[in-house]
Amino acid sequence: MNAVPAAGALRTRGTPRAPQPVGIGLAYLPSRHDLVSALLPLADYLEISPELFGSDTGTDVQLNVEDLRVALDLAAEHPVVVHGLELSIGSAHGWNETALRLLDAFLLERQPLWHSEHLNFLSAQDETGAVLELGLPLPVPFTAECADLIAERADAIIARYQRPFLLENSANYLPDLPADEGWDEATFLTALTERSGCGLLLDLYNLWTNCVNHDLDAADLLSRIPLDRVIEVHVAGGEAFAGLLLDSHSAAVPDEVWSMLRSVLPAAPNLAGVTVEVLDIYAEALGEDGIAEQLRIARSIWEQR
Amino acid sequence: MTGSALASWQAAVAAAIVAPPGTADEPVPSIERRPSSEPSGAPEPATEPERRPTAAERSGWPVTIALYRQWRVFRLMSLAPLTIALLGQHASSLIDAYLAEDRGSTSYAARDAAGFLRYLHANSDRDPWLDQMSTLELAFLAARRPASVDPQPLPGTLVRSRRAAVLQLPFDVLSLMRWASGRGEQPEPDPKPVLVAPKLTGWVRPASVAELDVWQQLTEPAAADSICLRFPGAVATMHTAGAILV
Repeated sequence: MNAVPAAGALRTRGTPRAPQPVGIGLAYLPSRHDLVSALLPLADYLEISPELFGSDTGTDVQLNVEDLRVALDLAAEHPVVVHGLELSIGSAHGWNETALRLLDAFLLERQPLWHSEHLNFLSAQDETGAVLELGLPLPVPFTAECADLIAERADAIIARYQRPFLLENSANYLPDLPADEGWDEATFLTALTERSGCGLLLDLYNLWTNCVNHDLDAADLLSRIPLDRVIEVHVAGGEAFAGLLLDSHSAAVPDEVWSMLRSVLPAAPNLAGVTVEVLDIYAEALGEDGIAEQLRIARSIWEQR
Repeated sequence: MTGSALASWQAAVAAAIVAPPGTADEPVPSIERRPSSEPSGAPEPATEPERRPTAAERSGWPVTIALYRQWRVFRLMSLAPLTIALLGQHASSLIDAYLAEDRGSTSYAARDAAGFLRYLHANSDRDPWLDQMSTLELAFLAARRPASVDPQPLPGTLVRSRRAAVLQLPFDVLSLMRWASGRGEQPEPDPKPVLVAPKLTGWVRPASVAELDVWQQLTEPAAADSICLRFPGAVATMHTAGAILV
């Protein structure tokens, strides 16, 4: 049986030293520097992904420092936080070293307040040992052994970079994600924080999509997630496709997610920032005014905490 | 789920996602749910009322598989848009054939797009328009590489940038691009050299005869003095474009 072990049986790590509260963050829009410049005055920090500046050299992938410097110049007056995209921390065969090399190169240019990654896997080994690079984020099973695997890797990352490292809950569209007996997403996130020194990046829209797509109770999940380990929150909006709600960052934040944010803030004592996410290819549809409104709502909720 | 079981599950998920439509033996990997090690002793539950399937149960797998294809197609269309426009009604079937042959060898868009363009060279009927456009877009991919790929020239020498190319196209490049993007007439043959380089707007412009000469002189690093004396204007414009390094 792999039910949740008693707390005392776990290798408990201290909560990572929490960053000071910063406020509201804007996710970087790589093809819309005009919007970043216009909207950043409404935000307190910029969230940026090193992989967006990864450039194929023909033999490997290197950080395009020239492009990164242009982006960082936009945030010359703002702190930045790093949000990794392609570490694939849950891949059984190993993580993606290229993502760490890009992060190493990024850190030569700017020191972020914290950095984060997704709880997912993007590659797998086939029966011949060849690695299939999917590029599509896929959820990790809610099992004790998967929590152990990821916790060990998270601690290795904390040791390597000596700064707060957060893991983000993912959207899961698969109807049959393996789970240990009695485990669900909240159990898994709890186990992860008990077994490693990582913090959590709580993506409320991902949580909401999981609730809609799997008929889950958001309030129940939130009541069992260790909110004291949440350092950052993501809010976003998405759209339905073939009857499934997608984590597409393509729309305004739905009311349900704002409500979740209101309920989370008082219970998350170490929360340092709330980031509004919009995918840049959808920024035009939402518009500068629309994104600005999301930032204002986030700030009004943040200030009532 | 043990480590090897996790690997097996992930391999099964990946195989289901990259399988060409209609070819997967079992489109949905089987569930491994770890049983409780202790019998519960509980009585068999009464028959439950029929439960309505969740959205994930109804369409989670088909949507996941569709998202994988859409994501790769989006990347190809972003980085090889003109070639794909030229393919017209054949684009979808050729993209499907490429995806079936290259089942996720890279998560990097530029590498995927380069693979697709090379696949077209190797597999499509020889079409001069398509050849020229795919060659041009391969050169654009090189122009987008970081400056760190370039060699550091020895003092007093000129070298080609690895991010640049001078191509001999049988058509006017700007007319060709306008036509491929549906904004102009099909151009008449008009052989001209073009310069592709990282610091050019749109990475391309027609090349002068002198620039073509400089490019041909620099198959190997050469002394800057002699080249500059013979082609002072072309060296300056090519250096500004990022095509040659001093």
